[in-house]
This record gives sequence, structure tokens and C-alpha cells, in this order.
Amino acid sequence: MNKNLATGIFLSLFGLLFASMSLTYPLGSIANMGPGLFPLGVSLIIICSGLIFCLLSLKNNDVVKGFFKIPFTLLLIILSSGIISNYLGLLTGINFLILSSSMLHRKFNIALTLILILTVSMLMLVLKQFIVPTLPL
Amino acid sequence: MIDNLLLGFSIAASFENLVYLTASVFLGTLIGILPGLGPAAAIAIFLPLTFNLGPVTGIIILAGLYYGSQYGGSTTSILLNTPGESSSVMTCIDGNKMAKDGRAGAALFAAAFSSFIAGIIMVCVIAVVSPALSGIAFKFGPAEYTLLMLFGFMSVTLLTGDNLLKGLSIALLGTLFGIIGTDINSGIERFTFDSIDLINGIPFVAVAVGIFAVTEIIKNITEEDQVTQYTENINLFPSKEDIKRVIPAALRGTAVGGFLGLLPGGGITVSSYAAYALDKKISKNRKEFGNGAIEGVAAPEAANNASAQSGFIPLISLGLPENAVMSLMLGALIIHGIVPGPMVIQNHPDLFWGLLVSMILGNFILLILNFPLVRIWIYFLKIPYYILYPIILTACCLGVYSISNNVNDILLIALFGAIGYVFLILDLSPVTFILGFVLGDMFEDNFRRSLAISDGDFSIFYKSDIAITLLVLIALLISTSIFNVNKQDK
Repeated sequence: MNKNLATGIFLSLFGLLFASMSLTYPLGSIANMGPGLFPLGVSLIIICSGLIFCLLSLKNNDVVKGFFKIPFTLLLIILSSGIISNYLGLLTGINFLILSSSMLHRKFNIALTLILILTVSMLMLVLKQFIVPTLPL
Repeated sequence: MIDNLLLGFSIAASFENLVYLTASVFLGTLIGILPGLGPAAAIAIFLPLTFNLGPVTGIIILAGLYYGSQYGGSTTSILLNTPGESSSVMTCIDGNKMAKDGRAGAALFAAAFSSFIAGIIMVCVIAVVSPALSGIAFKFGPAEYTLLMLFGFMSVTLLTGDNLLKGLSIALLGTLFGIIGTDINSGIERFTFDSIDLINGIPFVAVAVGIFAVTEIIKNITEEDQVTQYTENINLFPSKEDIKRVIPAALRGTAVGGFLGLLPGGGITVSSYAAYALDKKISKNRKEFGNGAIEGVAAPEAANNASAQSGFIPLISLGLPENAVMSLMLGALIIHGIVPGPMVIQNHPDLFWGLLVSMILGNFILLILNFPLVRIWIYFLKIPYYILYPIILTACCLGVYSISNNVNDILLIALFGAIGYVFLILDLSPVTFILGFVLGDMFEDNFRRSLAISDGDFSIFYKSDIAITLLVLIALLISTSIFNVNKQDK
């Protein structure tokens, strides 16, 4: 995908999201601004800038380069560890985070990862016992 | 001044602060040594740990991490030709050549000693310039502050080599994210999606960790681990000739770094490049540059340390952060209930003078640490990245969680990690985003107050001399940007 086009779409989408939500708040006047006017103005500037980048894509052929599989998986892992922590406790969430994020690397070593999990688990237990008793392990 | 310095000394030299300072410069040096963990990401990770400490101790720790990382980056540049930080790239050229010629000790001395000189000089400069600049800042009204922040957004964008329109759009996007939560004027909740967690806004640490730390991990995870071991003996003692050559180069580097560090977006990397280029032109031994000139190590190392420290001047006196790390410092100060700006020195002398004296002590500690611990630093380099990044990720999640004991904050790390990765692949600047995010509230508040004072009349933005000066500077930045675009097109 063209980089300028992707930038334009990215900016426009966020601009539209904030603009549409701003309209639901009182706008007021220039002299006495309501909570919606400033974000509406800023959103409109962002949308305009997004459109300019879309137009610039006609002139420039730079394409978006990047790895998508690993970043997407890593972000999913962080997201999942948050959800797991919510339901099964922080200890399970963090252990899941260490194990699954380590597996992403091509040099994944199960023995080292298990040692890491054990160490972090013990540290967290010590943390709960002596420093943060409220830690929801 | 003496009384203030004594006050600062009594704070910085307290047992508790001294222990934290030593630990933070030690960790900072380690961060500087490890490739793949920059100072911004590291400060974002350590930020939550400072919340339970007082604001002075918290800022002393974060500052120690920052300038400690500048020292650390030089060690691996010299011994292994592997810059731990982008600001240490220039040190590789002559530093590693010296190490290969058996003069590693002299190069390490030049790096540590010139950083030390720069650190001490810059502390004196901050002590004199910041209060003076605060005096000027008292003349700033809401209109001037609005323009100053706009100028900050633009200059950070331009000086980091970004497209002005792109950088400004991202800063404004950051502003929108920054104003999420309760509107202080009307009490109405904005953009919260009816979530109680967002009433007080998006937690700054979750944004910083997501944008910097997670994105950095994503960037590094696919790269090869390159661990080179340095096995030669290191003679740490320089010759008299070395010392003679280091001092003038360090002073020149300090001047360049100190000046560039003051400019919004000037940054430490640019400073080290500029100092190296200058010394290569004017040094007596310029012919040796590239082949192991000791000045080629001293000048950029002094510059990056001077720049790291002079960045505190606009932050403390104007409340204007000029790079990512300073934005994080600003966020930390706000979290601790301190609004940076001209009143800081007057209202919190303990913070200002305590921080300054801690920098002097921190520089001493670094000088002591850097020599005997060289071999230990090299040992840390042997930790492969595939072991390191799950630990960093865990520290990120636990750190963010610990602030408000809210698991949802971990989800925010993933969200901002995703946004950070989009920035990375689209060449958008995370620095301007974080600047907009941190300043968002203040930007809106000052803009609204300006127009409320003038009854909706926009002429308030060009009524005072300061406002006109800032407008001229903004116009200059815009014309520079247009000139750059035209030059690229040709």
C-alpha cells in the first residue's frame, strides 16, 4: 500500500472518529468554548491533513514496508495476557506473557524460558508476601 | 545561589536519595550499554516505580537513568563498535579505532572524562540560565503559551527531520488523546466511551510504554543477536598528551551540545554529530579523525551529555519538553502534582536545586562507576535479546499495572503498542505524538483561556512582543519546511 495513502487514511479515520464524537458535546462560541469545540477544530485540521496525504499519494510511490505477523501476534499476546490476568490472576497472565512472547523468537529455548517463568513467579510471590499484599496473583 | 546549592546538597546527598541516585545511574549505564533498549523506553518502564517515592526522588532517579544511559552507550561503541544508543554512533568511528590500536583505556577515559566535564559545566549553566529564563516566562500569558506549544510541536517535528504537516498532524492527534477524560471547564466526560477507567484520562505510562517500549521490542525482535566479546586487556590510564587533547575538545563539545540541547528537538544525537563535525574541521589533529583521534571521542561524548542535561532548562523554566525523554519527565512531574513552568523554581526549590546537585553527584558516581566496572558492563552484553525482551515486557506490564492496580491498563499497552507500530511503518514521529499527548490539556486550556480573555478576538495571538516573536519563529519554521520540500523535489 502507498505510504502517503496509508498515512492519509490513518489520520482521516482518527479525525473522523474524534470529530463525530465532538459533535455530541456542547460547542459553545469562540469566546466561551464548550467541551466539543476545541476537539472538533483539531479533528477537522487532522482530517484535512489526512486528505492532503491521500492526494500526495498520487505523486509519491513509497510503499509501506514492515513485518506484520510478529507485531500482530505480540500485540495479541499482550492483549490476551491482560484478559487472562483479569480472570485468572496476574501470575497466570504474566507467565502466559513470558512463555508466548518467548516463543515468538526463532531462538526460543524452552529450558531458559521455564527458568525465567520460575524466577518471575517467585519474585511476584515475594512481592505479594512482603511489599504489595494487594497484588491479585 | 550558595544557599540554594546547600539546600540542593542537603536533599541530593541524603542517604535515601544517594542510594537511589547510585542505583539509577548504574541502571542508566546498563541501559546505555544494551542495544535495543533506549532511554525513552527505559524511563517509561521505570516511571511507575517512582510514583510511591516523593517527586524529588522520582525525578532524581529518572534524570540519573537518562544521563547514565549517555555514559553507557559509549563503552560498547568503543570496545565493540556497537553503539548502545544512537547518540553514541559518532564515538564508534575513532573510539573503536583506538581500541583496535590497543588504546581502549585512553578512549574510555576520553569518553568518561569529557562527559564528566560537560555534565559539571551544564549543571552550572542550568543553575544560572533556568532562573533567568523563568523570569521571562512570567511575562507569558495564555496566548503566548499557546504559541510556545505550537512552536514546540513544529520545531520538534522539523529538527527530527520529519515532514512539518505530518509531524503537526501527529502532535494534534496526540493532543486529542491527551484531552480524553473530564473537561476541567464543564465537568463533561469526553471520548471516554462511558468507561470509568478513562474519566481521569488515559494513563500516561501506558501510552509511553506502548509507544516506546513495545514498539522498540517489535522493531528488535526480528533482528539478529550480535554479541561480540572484547577480550583484550584494558589499560585505563591515559597519557599526559591524551589529557591535553581531551580537555579543549570536551569544552567545544559541551558548547555545541549545550546549545543544541536547548533547542526544541535539538536532541542528543544531532549534538554528537555536530560536535564531531566541528572538531573534525577545527581541531589541530583533524587529520587523525577517522583513524583514532582522541578528540573524535571526547567531542561527541561531551556533546551528548551536555545536550542531555541542557534539555532540562526549557523543561524546568518554561514547562516545554524538547524531546521524548523530556516529555516523559514532564509527564512524571505532572503525575507527582508539579506543573512545570516558571513557578517551579520558586514553588519547589527543593526539586530544582535537589535535581541540579544530584546531577553533579551523579556525574561523580558515573566517573567512578565507568572505569572499574567496564568488564561487568561487557558481561551484560552477553545476555541475548530473546531472554531480555520477555523480561522487559513483563516489567512493562507489571509497572503499568502497579500504578492503579487496573488490569485494563495492560490492554492499553497493547493498543498504544499497535499505534506505535503504525507510526513506525508509516514513518510518523512518536515523539511529536507523546509531546501532543502530554501538552494536550495545557494546549487546550491556554487556547480557550486566550479567546475567553479576548472575547473571541484572535488578535490576542499577535498583541504582545513575545507573541509576535513566537509568530515570526513559527513563520520561519514553516518557510524552512517549504524550502526543504522544494529542495527534495528538485
